Amino acid sequence: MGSNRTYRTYGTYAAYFIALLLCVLQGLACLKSPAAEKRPQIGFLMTLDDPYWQNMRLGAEDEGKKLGADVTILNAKEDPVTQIQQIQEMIARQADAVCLVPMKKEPLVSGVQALNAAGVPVILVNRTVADGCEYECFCGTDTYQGAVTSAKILVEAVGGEGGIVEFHQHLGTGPELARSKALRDVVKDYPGIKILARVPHEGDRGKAIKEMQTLLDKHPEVKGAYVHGDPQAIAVADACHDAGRADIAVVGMGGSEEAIAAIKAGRLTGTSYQQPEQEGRTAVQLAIKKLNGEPLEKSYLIPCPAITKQNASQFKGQF
Amino acid sequence: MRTETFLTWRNLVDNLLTNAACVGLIAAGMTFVMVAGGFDLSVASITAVCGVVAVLAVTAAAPAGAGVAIAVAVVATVAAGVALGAANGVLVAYVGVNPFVVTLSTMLVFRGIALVLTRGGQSIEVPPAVRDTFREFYWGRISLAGTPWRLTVPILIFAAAFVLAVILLKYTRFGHYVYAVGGNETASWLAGVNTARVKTVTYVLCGASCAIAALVYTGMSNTAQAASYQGLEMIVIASVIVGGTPLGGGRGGLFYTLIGLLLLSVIENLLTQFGITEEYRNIVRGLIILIVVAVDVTVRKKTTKTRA
Repeated sequence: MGSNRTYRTYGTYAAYFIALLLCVLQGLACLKSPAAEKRPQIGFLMTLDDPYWQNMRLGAEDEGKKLGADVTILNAKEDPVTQIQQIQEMIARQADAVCLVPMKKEPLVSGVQALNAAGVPVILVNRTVADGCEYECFCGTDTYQGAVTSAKILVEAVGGEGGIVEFHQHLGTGPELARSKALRDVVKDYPGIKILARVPHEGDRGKAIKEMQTLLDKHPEVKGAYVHGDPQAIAVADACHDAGRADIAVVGMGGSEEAIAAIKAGRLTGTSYQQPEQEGRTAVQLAIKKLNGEPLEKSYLIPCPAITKQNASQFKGQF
Repeated sequence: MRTETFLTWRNLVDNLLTNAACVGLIAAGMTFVMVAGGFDLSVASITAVCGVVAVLAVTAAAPAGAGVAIAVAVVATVAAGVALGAANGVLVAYVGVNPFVVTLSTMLVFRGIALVLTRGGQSIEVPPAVRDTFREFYWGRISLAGTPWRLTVPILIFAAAFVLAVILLKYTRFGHYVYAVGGNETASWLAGVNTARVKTVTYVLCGASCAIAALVYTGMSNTAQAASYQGLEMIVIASVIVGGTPLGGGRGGLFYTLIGLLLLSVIENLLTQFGITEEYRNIVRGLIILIVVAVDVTVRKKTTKTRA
């Protein structure tokens, strides 16, 4: 095993590397900590895989700057396991408060329990967790109410009867459940409406287009599409237009700039208006309030009004 | 940011080492495969299937009591890991397909199996009766006798697995064969080593290590999702390579992997400590792997020259 010698060389290098890093780190820590010590440390644990979240992030970061707090954004990419690891990082770093967009309802209970045990206050943002853990308050878009708004726009647009298709996002996430339920709750009152298909778009426009093309072949009688999320709704609407089926009503959820433009242009039928930037800001404000010892309510809901061609000019998209 | 929290028990042990231990379990298995000259891209998918199997098994056995249910889950999960690893091994060693191609395909197949088992990717939960016991796989703490410090269960599981793996790779005939097959497969075969069996066993060990990691990860959230652990294979392979086991195999070992793993974990932890935002993290990760391996190659060239 003559090669062992060179490997020892390597091992030493790696060890040096670690040692060097630690030195640099400690040095930086000494330089940085006196100034940074007093600022509240807020962890904002979310996902960033859609412009929606990017905007929430901007709101949170900006509000942090305004209020003199350090806001650390961590992206769990819709994976609860990653998010629990990030929660541990926040506990390890002794964050003063955590704003959490739980990736999934059930799995995150363990994560929030860990925050409870460490005494870190939790502000839930946009989505909720299952029972079994404590949190200060929930703040966020009323996802269910927004989805009901979108569903009502769609039902009205198709005249209360006919076949519709549903495009849903990652299964089992809070909004997916709320939006799927909202559609069924609205459709319940319209026996003429039939949900022909329910397909996943997984946050991917390309997939939404492909699926819609397939559905147009399979169900030519389709009159409307209910799409979880604006970017995919626009994709679906484009697929319909390309196929010469501009008669199909398509509703999204969100109220992005792009969606509002598409509504004005008559490509998209309507959407419900969410305000992610406001959600991010409110979450950070609530965290600071909590740290200042002010009492909080249990829930801060941000409503989503309907946007259709009639009123689209009054809205400016937040993402 | 408060970087001084780096050197705390809570950060180094409860956070850094605990999460490194989860990756380390798989990296230990991967070391066997890579020392033998193989490669396994499917570890994240195997872990996902094993996590799902763990929850399904514990749910099925829950009426028999927590102890029995956990035992059933452990046996079923390890069996699943062994079976998937064996499938990789047989395809590589006996059918003779390139390990990259085999595990690229099985990565998809196994992920698909996890999706089928969870009916399209719904998250499935450990039943309430067993939950408090099952979560100990990840959240459990064991006090060090006579000190205020406590180690986490994942660290202890990893330590035990690591010691066993070191014994197996360094002090058994099988271990020597693993190095021999990675060093020169034809020569080993001519010398009478059953190279196909040795290779298959390395994949089985890797599958089994994924199963153990899956139990720990499942304890973390008490749920399993088919879509979890995406990208985990890259961290595992990076740990092995940064440690110094080359892609061709024949050299390296578990302690090298341990160094590589700790190095990457420290860096990952520092990225958070310093508040490096998400968009820069992958760049830093990739550059560090490149730098470390480039330094290694350069150093090795120099030493070879001076010796010659």
